[in-house]
Amino acid sequence: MSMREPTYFILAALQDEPLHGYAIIKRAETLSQGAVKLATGTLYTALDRLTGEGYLHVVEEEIVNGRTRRYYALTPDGLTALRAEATRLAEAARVVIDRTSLSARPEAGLA
Amino acid sequence: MSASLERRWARLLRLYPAEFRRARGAEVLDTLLASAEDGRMRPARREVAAFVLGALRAHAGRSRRPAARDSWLTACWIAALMLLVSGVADNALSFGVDLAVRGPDEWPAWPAAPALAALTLGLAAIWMVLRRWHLAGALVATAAVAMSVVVSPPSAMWPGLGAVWRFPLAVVLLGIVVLARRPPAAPAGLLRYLPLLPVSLVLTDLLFGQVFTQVTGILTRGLSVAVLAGALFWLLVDERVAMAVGLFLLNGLLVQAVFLGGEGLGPADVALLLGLSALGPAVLLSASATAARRQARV
Repeated sequence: MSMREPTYFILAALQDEPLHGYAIIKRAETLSQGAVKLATGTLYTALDRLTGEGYLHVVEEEIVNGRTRRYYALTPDGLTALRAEATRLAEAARVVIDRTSLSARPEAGLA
Repeated sequence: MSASLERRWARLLRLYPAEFRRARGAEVLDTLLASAEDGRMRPARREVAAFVLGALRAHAGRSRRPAARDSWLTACWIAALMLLVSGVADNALSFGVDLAVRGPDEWPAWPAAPALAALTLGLAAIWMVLRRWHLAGALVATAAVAMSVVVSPPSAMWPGLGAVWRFPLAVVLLGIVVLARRPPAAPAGLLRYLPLLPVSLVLTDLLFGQVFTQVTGILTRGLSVAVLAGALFWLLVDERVAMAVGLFLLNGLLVQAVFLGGEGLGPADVALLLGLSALGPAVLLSASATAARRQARV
């Protein structure tokens, strides 16, 4: 089962440390090289879904400017799903990259 | 961050269900304000669109990832209800109009009594399906069709009897729900009110027929296109609405296929008419199937 691109980068954003909503948006944008720019509404729909699926959990809450800020972290299931998707993407990429390098080799030899 | 921006977002936050606002409102507001560029006074359009869509999905109970099979099961249940409601509403309205025109003294005992019994059975089937007694509902709807078949030969034109031909597909859909051996998910949001759509369609049809007699056909077709467009738009929020409307419209196609068989039309004419009738359900069912597969991804 393939993962949606925003989901992949939300999970990837949380690999190293728990983050709050805004930090997840920024980290996902950086990791995807600007390809995934999450709107806040989209982020919280995804966070609810991923928390419900058991891929994320809230690890900390703090009050900033009188408002609650929650920090989300990957669960073991979330990490497993992320790694499985990364492996799938890597294998899919290898199908193309290996072929490209094989076809490039004879030409390199002739040069 | 400006106070005006905060006020505007706080106002938009009211679109979300109260439970969500209580649990997440302050947190979401914090993220929205942090995401806004310095000096911004109004929310960005892209953020507003995603925010409103998120609110609609929260009302529709779509914050969890549904299995495509479960979405279809709920759609079958809702479509069965829509067909039953549509048949009963059409039947009851025809009776009402006929009673007003002829007067009670002119009503023959036969076939009025069995036709009224079919209407009562239809109402009972709706009640049973709402109570999740799917098998009982299917059996009672089958009895309503049987009752109409009994009445049909001597007086095929008895008002409202044709409406019962929406029940056989409802029985098939209920059969699918029974065989699935798991209850369909409780509908939320617009899906909950979808079984009432046929009532509004029947009433609008009557209104068009009475008030705008010259353009009734155009208005009725316009209404069908509006329902189709609305269901397609709602794919963004809840694909089960488009599934249920697609299954509901499928009945018109099936009835027309049976009806055209006895009309003596050429194969090309039959194919053209059926093709046109199939367009709406085909678009809705294929688009909703694609959306359901997409929604089922993590």
